[in-house]
Amino acid sequence: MDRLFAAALGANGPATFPVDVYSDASATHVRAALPGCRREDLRIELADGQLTLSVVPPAPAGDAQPDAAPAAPVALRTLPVPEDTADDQVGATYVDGILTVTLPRRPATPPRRIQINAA
Amino acid sequence: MPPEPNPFRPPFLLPPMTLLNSLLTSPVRPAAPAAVRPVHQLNETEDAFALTVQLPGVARDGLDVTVEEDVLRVVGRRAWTPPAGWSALHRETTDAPFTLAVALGQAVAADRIAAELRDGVLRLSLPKVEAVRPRRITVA
Repeated sequence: MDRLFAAALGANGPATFPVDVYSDASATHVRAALPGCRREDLRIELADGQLTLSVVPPAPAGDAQPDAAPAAPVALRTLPVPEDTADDQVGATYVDGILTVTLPRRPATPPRRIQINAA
Repeated sequence: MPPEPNPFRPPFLLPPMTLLNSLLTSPVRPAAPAAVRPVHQLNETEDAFALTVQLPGVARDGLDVTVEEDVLRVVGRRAWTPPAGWSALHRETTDAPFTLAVALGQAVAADRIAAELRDGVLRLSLPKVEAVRPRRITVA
């Protein structure tokens, strides 16, 4: 199984994987083909307008050192996300080896009128 | 009288934008593949074959596994379709089914095949029929 994923994901550094991106009236949806992953190994991070999806398997038992560097991802993909993404409402599901990340859009904020105080 | 246009004139002699424009405006688009060969790995032991196939997006309902003689066939159909209102912005996958045919080289016991599909990965155990399993003969 390890060789299977080494072949599929690449032996040198994190490999890539295919993604599809969809949009509807309220959100952007990213679907990533990541078969055979454990849910706890899937990482979804949103920072600086970039969505990063990665697969980070746990370090082998016995190698866990308190000061050890974080485990390296075996697969990694970074995508730009719309500016109006509601970062705190991002959701994800993992079904049949497909990771779906839903990025809701923030509702448009009406312009606020600023009153000028009298001097 | 102007010369007859040469029908065999190679496209690279056309004005540079002509070819680009014809590609952009052509109604012909690359056809989607009819089927996709999935990533897989076949291992063999003395008693059985073990096959692992990556089938992202395939649920149990969309999976067909058949064995005929010594040829194993796997067909996985992706049932997911975008919900109403979704429009594709970027596609890297295809909707085509996965198909895989593997010639095992010897018969397997079709009635004892074990299959498990989990998280888009199919794992098959294909026991060899007794007649073809190697037998160790003890020399008296």
